[in-house]
Amino acid sequence: MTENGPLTFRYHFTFSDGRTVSLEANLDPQTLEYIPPDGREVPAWAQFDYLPCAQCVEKSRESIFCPIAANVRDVIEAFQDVYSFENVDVVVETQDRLYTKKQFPIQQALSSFLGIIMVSSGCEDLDKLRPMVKFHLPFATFEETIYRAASMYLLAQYFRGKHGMDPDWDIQELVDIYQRISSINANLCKRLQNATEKDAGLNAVVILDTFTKMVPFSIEDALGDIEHLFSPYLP
Amino acid sequence: MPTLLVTDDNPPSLNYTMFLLKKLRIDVVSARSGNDALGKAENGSFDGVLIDINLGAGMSGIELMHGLRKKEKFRNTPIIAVTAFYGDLSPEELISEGFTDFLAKPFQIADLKNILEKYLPPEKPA
Repeated sequence: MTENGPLTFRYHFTFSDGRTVSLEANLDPQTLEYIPPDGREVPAWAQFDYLPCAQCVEKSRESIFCPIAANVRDVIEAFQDVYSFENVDVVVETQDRLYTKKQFPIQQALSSFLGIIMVSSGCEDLDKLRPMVKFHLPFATFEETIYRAASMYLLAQYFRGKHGMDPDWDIQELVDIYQRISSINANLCKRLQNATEKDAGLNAVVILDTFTKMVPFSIEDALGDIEHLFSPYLP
Repeated sequence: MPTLLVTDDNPPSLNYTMFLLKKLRIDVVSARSGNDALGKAENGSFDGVLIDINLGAGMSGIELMHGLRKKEKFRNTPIIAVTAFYGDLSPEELISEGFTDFLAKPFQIADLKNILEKYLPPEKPA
């Protein structure tokens, strides 16, 4: 990122036959909102009315297109002829470092990139995870995801307190957030059923959703498993 | 406690399914490929099988199902196709091929529980 330029994440994929594909996500450095490329048509499956999420319907939200579907369309189209079980070499380029994976399942690599776009697209529920994208960790494990999500959420409570709002130190609302996001993921999968010839992009969303669904079930246990690491702070 | 053979080539998806089955008090033997599953099927006793359709490593989920059906002990075992993407076959065609039923990804614990209750013995799952 240059001083005033976007926050950029680049994913470079190399297939076993030597073919390469690169994806780039540019975010506003202040708001962390996704900056879509100019001049793109929105496909029918990304139109708002195609399969609106319950949350948008309940709030009578009106839009021409679903912001997430519209923004992931480039990824879905770039990989529409790729099967989820193909392996690729991946290099992820951020401002500060490179991350690499050799012979990594394409669906897991894509899920990492789609996660950036989904939380930065302006969906009201996914916005709650947006602060994490500033410190995006490619190929995060479930344990790392839990740690990052809980850390982000508790920091958010600190800031809420500073602004005179009620902090949720029991992490109750985080569970609700993940449950709402899971229903959005399911809806996006339905949209993608008709958008792709093969399953790499669709299964990338399914993988994101497995993480999303496991958080509400397991956050207490997962945090309990690492509580001993905080012994220097505990009695 | 019933035991399922679960085959999925993708570790996060496999871990998620195993996580839910543990919540449902169902024992799981996991496999990451068709060949792995066939080997484990040979040596184990299972109340049901979950198979991801788009397996890598050579053998498809449909080929795995056919391989299991050839074995006498799997002839009447519930074998459920699990997939986000049906590809060339509709859910109905998957059943015509030999699957007992299908479960669409992404699924929730209630979806998994419902389909297992249809096919596992009445007292199972807990």
